[in-house]
Amino acid sequence: MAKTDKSKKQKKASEPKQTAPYFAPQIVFNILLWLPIASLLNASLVCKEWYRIICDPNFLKAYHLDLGSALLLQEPKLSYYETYLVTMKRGLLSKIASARLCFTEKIVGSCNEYTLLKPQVENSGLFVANHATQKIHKLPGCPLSLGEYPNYYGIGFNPNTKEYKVVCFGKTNGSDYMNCAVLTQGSRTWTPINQSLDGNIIPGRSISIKGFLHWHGKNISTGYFEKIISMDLNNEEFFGTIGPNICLQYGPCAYDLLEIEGCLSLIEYEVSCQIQFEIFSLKDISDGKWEKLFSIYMETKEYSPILSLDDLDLYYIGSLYNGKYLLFKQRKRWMKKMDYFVVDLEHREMKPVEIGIKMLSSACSARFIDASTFCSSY
Amino acid sequence: MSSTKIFLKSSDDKTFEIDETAARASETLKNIIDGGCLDGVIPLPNVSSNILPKVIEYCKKHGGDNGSSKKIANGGVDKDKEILPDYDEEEDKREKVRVDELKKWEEEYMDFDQQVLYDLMLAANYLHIKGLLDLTVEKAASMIRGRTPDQIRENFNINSDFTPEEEEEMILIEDEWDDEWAFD
Repeated sequence: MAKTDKSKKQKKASEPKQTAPYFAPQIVFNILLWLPIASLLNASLVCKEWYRIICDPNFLKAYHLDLGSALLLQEPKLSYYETYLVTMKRGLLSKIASARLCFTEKIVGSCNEYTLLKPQVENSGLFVANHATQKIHKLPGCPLSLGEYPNYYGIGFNPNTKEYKVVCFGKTNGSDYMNCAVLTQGSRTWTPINQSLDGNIIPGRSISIKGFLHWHGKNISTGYFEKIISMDLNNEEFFGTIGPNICLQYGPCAYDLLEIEGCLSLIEYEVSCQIQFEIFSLKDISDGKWEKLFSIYMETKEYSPILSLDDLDLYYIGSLYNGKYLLFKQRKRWMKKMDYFVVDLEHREMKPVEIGIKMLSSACSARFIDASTFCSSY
Repeated sequence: MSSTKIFLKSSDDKTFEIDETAARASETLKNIIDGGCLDGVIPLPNVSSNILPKVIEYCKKHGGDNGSSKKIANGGVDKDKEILPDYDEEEDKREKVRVDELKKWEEEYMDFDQQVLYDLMLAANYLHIKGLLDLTVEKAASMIRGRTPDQIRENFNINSDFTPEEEEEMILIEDEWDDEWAFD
């Protein structure tokens, strides 16, 4: 960003102020809310009134709320992805225009203000969008032979070195092993990881917590959750963690990873005649002891028998406010529409919410990224 | 579709006509209409005759919808026919064309000078037209984004009221903020 050139700083006191009188603080406030963090400082240097507005705790609160309790949702179209920013204020969800996020690529990972993007064209590399600065960076090409097999990604933050790392998995044709490479922020080359991973376990959506990146690992043949694949971002070593010993009785279940109050947590949910969630949390990643946080049973009005995972109507989308609220979508099979609801973990309440995004069928299920820690590093 | 006409009177006493459906894009007008106090003309003392046609143009384009280039219910596929959750290539293409078209329209619509921008922002705020407010506010924000304080002042005709010492002090903070990590 250009520095303020001191030579240009002639005071234009002689010119009459033409700012319209109705350019009221409230409107300035609204405009400034649309700025990326990187532009806020320059804006605060404009005049005392703007400075006062930006430094006002109410503004900071509104600004933080705008970003801090937001989820990025993507609706897959055939040729592009429509991205929405869904925010929650006072328990209400609202979808806001995605003008701050100008990309049509698929989000494949997210950590703080960074979002990892994958274009639809294979082998055209990955991009990282920084929502704080609104810049999109192209990453150098990955050494893994990509393209033939689906690839898996993650982006995480290492608090020790204060660096972000992008992790990419790939499998070469005929191999039983998954190879992996890591790109550290600021570096131009990917580092291959010597450790190879069981190719039968597919990493799912990634989540970055306290210097670790975790993937929910699904067995390729059964389609069920098998273990959590984790990478310590300090030494770039992988390890696996077995999930909690869960035995929900009815029907197939789905799992997802989430962060609740800074701990890696696992949600297991199923819908049959009732909605059932169990949420476990792992306080210490090294001892592998899961603690059951919640067990929620909620009656649903409609009964629809679930035969296989593909029939599962309920999907976890993401969490807001540090895992306090969970957002789900439910496909009403007969009505062919999507319902969304928010589960308030503290109060054990489930409320339907209107988001107004027509979601597509499970076959091309959208990628939902929990961006609830958006900008938290600022 | 109702084609009831509503009449709006600008601050300088000029009267404009708008369809009720279009007028409903404005929360304020919608409340007036629903409140049943519709005898004749709605006076808008805060909106001038320069701006009102522009506002009406926006409302016409957006009808009952109050989003910007976001989704508008599938162009009339409202007849309880199935809204297929499956991938529909045709619909996807149509949707992309529609969004592109709307974005293009918005681009052309938003091509005006700053005085109009301020007036329009005010009108959108007063009439509670969320989509238009978002558009104008976003445009104003784009005049700040990535600019130096001097450039911003120039864009908005603002004079700095900081003393040189105060500015000096604040620029030091700026350098810290500028220390951004680049990925490439």
